[in-house]
Amino acid sequence: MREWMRAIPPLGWPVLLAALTLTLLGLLGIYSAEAGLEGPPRVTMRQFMFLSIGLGGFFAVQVIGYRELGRWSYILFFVTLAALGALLVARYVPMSPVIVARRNAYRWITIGPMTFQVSEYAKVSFILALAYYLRYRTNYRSIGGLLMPFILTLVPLGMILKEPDLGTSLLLLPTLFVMLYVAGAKNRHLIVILTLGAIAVPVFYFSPLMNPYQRQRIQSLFHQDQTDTNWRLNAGYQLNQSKIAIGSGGVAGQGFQQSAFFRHNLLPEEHNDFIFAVVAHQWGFLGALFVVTLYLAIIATGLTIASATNDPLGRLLAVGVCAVICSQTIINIGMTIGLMPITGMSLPFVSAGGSGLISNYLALGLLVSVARRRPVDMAPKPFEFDDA
Amino acid sequence: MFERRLRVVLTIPVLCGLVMLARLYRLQIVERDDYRDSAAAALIAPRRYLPPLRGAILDRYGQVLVSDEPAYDLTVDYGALEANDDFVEDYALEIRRTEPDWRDAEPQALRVEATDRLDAFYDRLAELSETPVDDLLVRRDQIVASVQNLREYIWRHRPENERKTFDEFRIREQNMQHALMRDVAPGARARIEMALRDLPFVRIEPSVRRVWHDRAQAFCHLLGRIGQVSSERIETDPRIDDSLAHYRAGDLAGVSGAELLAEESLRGVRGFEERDLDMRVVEHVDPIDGNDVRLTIDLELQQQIAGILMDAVTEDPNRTGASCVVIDTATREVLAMVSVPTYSLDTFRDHYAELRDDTRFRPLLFRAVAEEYQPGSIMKPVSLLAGFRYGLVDPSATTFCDGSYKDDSRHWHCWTYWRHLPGHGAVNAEQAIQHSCNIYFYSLGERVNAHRLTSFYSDFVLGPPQSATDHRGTGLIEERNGIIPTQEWIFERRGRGYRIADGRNYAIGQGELQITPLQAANMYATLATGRFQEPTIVANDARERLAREIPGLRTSSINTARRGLFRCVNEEGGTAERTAKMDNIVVCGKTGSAQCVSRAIRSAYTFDVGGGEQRTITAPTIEAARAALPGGVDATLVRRKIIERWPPPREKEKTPPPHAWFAAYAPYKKPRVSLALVIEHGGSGGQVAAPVGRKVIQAILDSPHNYFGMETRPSLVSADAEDPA
Repeated sequence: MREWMRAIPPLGWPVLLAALTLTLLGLLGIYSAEAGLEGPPRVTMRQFMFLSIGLGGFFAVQVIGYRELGRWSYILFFVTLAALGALLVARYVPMSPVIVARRNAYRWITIGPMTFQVSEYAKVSFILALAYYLRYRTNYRSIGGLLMPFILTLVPLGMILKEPDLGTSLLLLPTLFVMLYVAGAKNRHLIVILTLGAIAVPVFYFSPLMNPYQRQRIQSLFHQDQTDTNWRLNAGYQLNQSKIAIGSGGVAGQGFQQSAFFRHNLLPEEHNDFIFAVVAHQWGFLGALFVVTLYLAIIATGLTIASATNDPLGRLLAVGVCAVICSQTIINIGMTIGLMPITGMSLPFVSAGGSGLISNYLALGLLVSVARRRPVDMAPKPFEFDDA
Repeated sequence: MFERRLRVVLTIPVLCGLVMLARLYRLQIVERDDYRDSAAAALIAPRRYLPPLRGAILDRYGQVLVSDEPAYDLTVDYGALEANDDFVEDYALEIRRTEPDWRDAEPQALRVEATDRLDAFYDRLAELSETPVDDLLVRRDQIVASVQNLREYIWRHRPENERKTFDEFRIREQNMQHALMRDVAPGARARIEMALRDLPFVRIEPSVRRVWHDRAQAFCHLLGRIGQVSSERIETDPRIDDSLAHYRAGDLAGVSGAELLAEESLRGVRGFEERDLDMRVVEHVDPIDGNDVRLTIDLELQQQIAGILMDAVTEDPNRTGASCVVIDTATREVLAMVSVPTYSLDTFRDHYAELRDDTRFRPLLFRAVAEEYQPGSIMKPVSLLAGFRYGLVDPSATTFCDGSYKDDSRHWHCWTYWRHLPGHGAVNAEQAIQHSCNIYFYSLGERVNAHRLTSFYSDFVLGPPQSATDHRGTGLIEERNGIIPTQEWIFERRGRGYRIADGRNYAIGQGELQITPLQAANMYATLATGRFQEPTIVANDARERLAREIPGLRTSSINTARRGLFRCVNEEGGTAERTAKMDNIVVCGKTGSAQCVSRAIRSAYTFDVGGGEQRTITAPTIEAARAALPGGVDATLVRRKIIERWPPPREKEKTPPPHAWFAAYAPYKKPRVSLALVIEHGGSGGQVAAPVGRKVIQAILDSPHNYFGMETRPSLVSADAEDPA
């Protein structure tokens, strides 16, 4: 046991403990939402199992080390793309029982008893591959050099989008941006691309590429403060219920109990996408504050890790992991409080769901693995004296 | 640079975190109470309303005529009836949520399933309840149309600044359950409830139905009916601010007769029950039943008089109906208000078209208050009093009647002329009434003139104006006020001024003058007491009904008329003496044979059926004609030609038989009760109406309630003591 503990570098502890705390809060929330139903708390137990697997993966990554994984990054990325490709093809060529559609979405590959949500793992392999790609280059400082990173991003993005899984696909873009930014891409290039993106959004919004119900989700954001019972019962139901759950949490929450609100299924998707509402309901504003702080701790520590190392792959990897965790958290929490449109995105480390949890702990493993590597001292640091 | 950029990157999550915390602060701290309330409210199932019982309508002595009985309605959520997209979507989600088989289905498949189930529901219900599915669909369409009409009505009447767009505007009734089938048979109820329990939008809810008791058939016109409240009525409801008491779409309220008249007393207040999602009761408010309303009408008397009248009508095929009204002179409470023929209240709806098309007997007509007849000779005591009023009559002065006289244009006859009898000779006021001498009254009418006559009639029949109340009569919606042909009325309707002939006609109760049987009975009550007062049919009537003096009339004048009435019934030569005089009570009254016209009972209706074509249908009513014509509802009427009238004219006189009237009060010395009865086309008042009047008075005498206040009957002492309010 001590061995394992020593394996974790000093900077790795805040990250791991924060993540574990979040997962614990998630377990409490899931249990509370589940306990009123009949039978054993299955989702809670499964989540616990996923946590174990995730921690196992975490430590495995420590053992292998990020650099070794980096050498495999392209292969892993290719495997991921192949899996995504299989999902796309499965729409036209039946591949059950390996690939089965749920609600007309092809997102999962089943091998034996295990089901993998490919897009979650794709996030991780994407970051690894992108970091590996960029690590020694400098050509991204020119416009032409930005092309390849974008292609590297847009290919998986498009494939994930087609599953369909709008939410996860969107995560790749901010991650790309942040990684390019810290890698040193020129400001003006990035600004131009951002501006183009900003223009593309309304175009996309009004184009036929967007489903009516997707548009409705965005419209819901603007509607939400009107006292329109029609909206509250229909289009805005989920958001409204989420706000009620969160708002009724008050300062210190309703406590850990089987809240009647969840017992009667008044909040849809309370296990995964809206788990934050459950936590906020149980622990109140203070609890929500604590959760936000935990995520900030992870990100801040992650960025410190990036700063502390001087290995380029490590730097980019750390930043990439932080970016993806940060984006997902912002979108998910924003969704539950009515600042973001509702997309099917879960909360990292907290939401129920095997692939999400495991892939997040894998990413965390990469991050901590970066922290393990101490920079090679080329010169003694100043103000270091031998005598105590 | 890397470090710097790292710091820049770090600001993003920090900023976002602050924004989120600000938002959370707002939700969880600032608006916490609102959300706590919402959370609590979300845990409560929608209110179920508990219907109140509507008050019963009772007769004078508390016997139930019509009352509510518990029943069950099958109600459907409005969204399901309208089957709009929102509802289908919700239902689809509900199916997914509650049925494991559908958990992974695609949205479109779910929507199709929801729609299918919705459509199938009507077929299932039709089979379970053994009703034709088309009836259910028609009923569904009616409900949807009525809610949409109400929605439009309310939207148009809201002030500008409250308006949203019409599409967004929703009314409460769009979120309610509505009764698709009322009064589900008890045997079927459990079966239907079990069979349809899988459908969340269907409920069997407790309700009430209105039941007429068998004994109430003689009251069929008087009781009236309940029906769905109209949009206007909802909006003008006096109780609109009371959330439990006001009308909602689909509520039933009185629309005619006593049900309408006493609506404010009969209607109750809803209760409700709120349960939380664990089925525990959160709040329960009992409904408040409506108050029973007691009429002033005596059930036994009403039934007996109905029988007596019906016998009289069936004696002769010319007779098409009859009516009798009996009034307590002191309180002007109506003791009986009969109109025959009657109809069965239970089967009314099924037979409506037949009843409507029976133009000969007009069973739906509430003759007692809604049909206006020429009064004929029963008006004579009143025209006599008009003469006294204007100082134009000396009680002892006589007029000579030799059967007829001639003026410039035509002959005027006394009724003796038609019977080939000699004239009455010299008659004074009392004798003129006793013998019902037309000549005396033509002369009187000429002297008083039409203008003063009608003015006096207004005072006497409709009430003196100086203390006019805001109501007239009993308040029934069917009630008509007769026709007192004032100068303005003649101008408007006949386009001429008064002629001398009018004065003569009005004095004998002919011409344009018309009154209802209720007015006739009340008129004789006024003769009996000397004061005018509005009648009433509800016990403890809250309206102010002052008894007012007739202006310009002295008691001595009235007494002259009264003596005339006494002689008419009790002295030889009186037109009612042989037929209405009674041994056990002294009755004062007057006969009348009112000339009248026949009525159309069948016509040829010519319609424009389009394409330049016309079709003619012979039918009793235009509705029956339209029913017989394919597409007749929309066809325009081009021409109507009357084919048959009833009764046919008599051979000799060339006119149909006159209406036979008898109006009276009793006892002579201390009047307590007045009555008026008319037998349509009965013929002679003396020969036909007066005997019927006698039977009616006998029936009143036989009643255990001693309406005449007689002291000579042995059982009276106790009867008096029990005299009910």
